[in-house]
Amino acid sequence: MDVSVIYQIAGLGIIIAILNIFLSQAGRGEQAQMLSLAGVIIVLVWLIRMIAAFFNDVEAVFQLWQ
Amino acid sequence: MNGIAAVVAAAVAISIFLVFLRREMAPIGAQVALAFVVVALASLVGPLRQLLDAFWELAREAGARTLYVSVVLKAIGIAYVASIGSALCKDAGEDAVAAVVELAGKVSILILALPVVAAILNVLVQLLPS
Repeated sequence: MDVSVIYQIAGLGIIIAILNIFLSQAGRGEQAQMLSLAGVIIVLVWLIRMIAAFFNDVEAVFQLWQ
Repeated sequence: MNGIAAVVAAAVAISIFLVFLRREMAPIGAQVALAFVVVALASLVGPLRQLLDAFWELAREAGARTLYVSVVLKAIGIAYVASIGSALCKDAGEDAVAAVVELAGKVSILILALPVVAAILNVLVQLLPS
């Protein structure tokens, strides 16, 4: 796992926050909410893979399967 | 050395991003913090493996029973995972979920240590004059 993944997630979060502000200023609050929900889900899918890989590593190191 | 520098630089940069993200986009802020924790700890797994290998080697040379050594190491592993999980839940503002994670860690460590406790009790019973 690389440190750049964190910056990618942070960048995605900032872009979505800015678009969210634009959309809610334009009076489209519903679409703004949908956008933020979509962003959260995309990042969540990304994170779950990372967490699974990390927990597999930890299990291998501590030999929790025995 | 390279690893620690990257982690510390990422921590500082992420903290500054989080000042903005937590205000405008709280869920993604929590996710960024989670991603940082996972990446930083994943970079610690390699050194941890070396450390545990050295520990195993020492235990083998000292002639300790592998059952007891593995119980200690597994307890450390469960504590590691559970404390990370509970800290992340607390960070997202969910203290009740964090308490459950901590309790799950404690229960699984206790179950893991049950054979050792049973062995100690066995020795005590044998020592007592009947």
